[in-house]
Amino acid sequence: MKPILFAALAWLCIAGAGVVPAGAVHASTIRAEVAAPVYTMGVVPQFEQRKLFDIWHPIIQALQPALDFRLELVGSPKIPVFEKKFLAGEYDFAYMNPYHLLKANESQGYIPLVQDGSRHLKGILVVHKDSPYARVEQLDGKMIAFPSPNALGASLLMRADLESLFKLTYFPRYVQTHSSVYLNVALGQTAAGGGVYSTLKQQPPEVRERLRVIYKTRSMSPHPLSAHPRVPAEHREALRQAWLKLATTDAGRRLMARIPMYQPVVAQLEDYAEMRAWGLDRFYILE
Amino acid sequence: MGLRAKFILLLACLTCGFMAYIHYLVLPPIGEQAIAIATNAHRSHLRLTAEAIVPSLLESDLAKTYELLDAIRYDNPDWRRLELFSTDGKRLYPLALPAKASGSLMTLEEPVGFLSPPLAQLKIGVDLSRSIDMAQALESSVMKALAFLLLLIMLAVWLEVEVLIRRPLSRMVAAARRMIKGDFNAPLPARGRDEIGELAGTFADLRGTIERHHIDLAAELEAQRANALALVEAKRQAEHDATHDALTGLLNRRELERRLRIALHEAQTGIGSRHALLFMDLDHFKRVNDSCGHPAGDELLRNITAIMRRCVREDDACARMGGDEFAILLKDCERRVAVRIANDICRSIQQYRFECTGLVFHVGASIGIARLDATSTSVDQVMADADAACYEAKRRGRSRVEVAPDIQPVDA
Repeated sequence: MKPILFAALAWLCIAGAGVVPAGAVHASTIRAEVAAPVYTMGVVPQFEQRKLFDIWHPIIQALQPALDFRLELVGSPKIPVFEKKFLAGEYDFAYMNPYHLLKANESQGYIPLVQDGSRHLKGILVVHKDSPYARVEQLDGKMIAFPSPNALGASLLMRADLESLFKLTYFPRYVQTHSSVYLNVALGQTAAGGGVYSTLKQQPPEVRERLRVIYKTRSMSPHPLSAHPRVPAEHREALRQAWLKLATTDAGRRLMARIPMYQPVVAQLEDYAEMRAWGLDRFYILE
Repeated sequence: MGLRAKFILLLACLTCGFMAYIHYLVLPPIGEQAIAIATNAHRSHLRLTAEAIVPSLLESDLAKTYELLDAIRYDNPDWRRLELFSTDGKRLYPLALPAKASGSLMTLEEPVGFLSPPLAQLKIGVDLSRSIDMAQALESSVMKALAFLLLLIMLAVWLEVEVLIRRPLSRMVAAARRMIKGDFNAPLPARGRDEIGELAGTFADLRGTIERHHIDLAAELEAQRANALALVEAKRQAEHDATHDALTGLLNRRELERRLRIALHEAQTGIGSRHALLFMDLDHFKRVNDSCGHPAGDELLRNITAIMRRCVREDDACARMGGDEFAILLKDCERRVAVRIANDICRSIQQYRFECTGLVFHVGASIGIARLDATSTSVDQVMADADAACYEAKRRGRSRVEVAPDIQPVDA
């Protein structure tokens, strides 16, 4: 009996010795976790959720070692939902289009951190290649397809240009997606359609070869990665630097090219200032 | 045509008839129904497709519509052609004019939308060949299975009939044929409780009865035949006895006279028919009888008969008139030949020696010859002439031949 009791006591001692150090480590981890903040990052749902996650999650994982805070990717099912959330300041960091940045800045004071220095955004107006339309003015009174009212280059910017610069009268048809715009024009359902070069290039050859671009809008700086002002400046800067540093590596460039952000550079609010004068608010529909 | 052939023909006709009934009357409606079910399935699917693209068409989201139609077309390989047309007839899907699908397609149309006029018109060209092939394969499988099953059933029925009916009947027929030929030992089918078994049993009993009657009849027949033969023999013997001398076997007087009458008729009616009658009387016969007894006398007469037969011709008729008197009718015989024969007989008898009880006897023969020709008047007359000539031979010294009516001595 005594040996058994002795053995049980010894076992308990050993287990306790194992628990105590583990507990000590666990406690320190908890303290560390409590110390490191977690920031949410929202991404405009240009693509469906799975693709979005597939693009952004590897980037966040690549950035994480260089940061002493955690980033948590948050998705939104639709652009209107995303808009409402950033206007309410629900995201600590957010990737959004330039117009969203202006609204977010006005609403919550979001600060741009990085952008793609290799390109500028502009909308394009396409017509059927066999159509008689060669100038924007010829589309007066015609039906023009747009993806959605608030699609920046294809719709917002294009409509601003058509009405502000050309004083064009037309009938808009909102056909949900860029691809739908091109199909409507290729099939002759509308006289013209608004899109962007990047989505036009993504169309299959049998669609592209039926279209002709007759107008390009004014250009603007591309989508920035922005931060809410509640995020401490050192953390904002840490993310910016980590981003730019990651972009110097081949792996990092490959990851960011999928956003797409081919050449990350520092972004500033001034880069987007001229857009305020374009009167885009008149064409924006808040759902 | 035997029972086996008839039954095989019947089974074959039944099988073919049933298969034809299935092939032409049963399966085609089933196949048509299968095709109709397949068609209705496609129609139903087309309706669902039309409903599925309503929301995207309402939003003019052609990309979404294309996405849906591409996916639906991928999921329906039998839909060789899928087109969407706007209300004004313009093709909305696909973008490029589709290549003409090979083979015959069934066209189905469905309006898109729930109101009139519809949003668009959906049209598909369905290749039913797969469904048709499946229906045909099913029909083929059913026919093969049915044919196999029928074959098995027919084989079983045929075997049953062969074993239970035809073979027993065939054996009974073979047994009957052998029974006709008198063979009652052919194998028969075993008795049984069914009709064929009872027939076999009854046949066996019948054969047994017939066999017994056959045996009795055969014995009876044999007895009757023996009886008949005996009667025939008796008749023949009686006829023979009626016309022949019992001792010598020669013709008797009555038979000789009958033949004489026939010969006389032939002579009187025939052209140039000449016969001769010899009367012969043995000389010194009584001495043998008296010395040795009647048995020796009978033996002597038989020996003399033999001598006579050796001297006459085959067609000549020898007769014993009684005692030691003999007569010989020589048919178609000239006088000269008759005389020669008579002399031969006379000489032969003269040379014959009869021995009995140690004694040797010499007998002779006195022979008279009479003509029997167209001039003869009657049998009695001829016989009288021959007798008279014989008497003359005896008168002139015995062992000699005399010819009537010209009684000229002729040395023996």
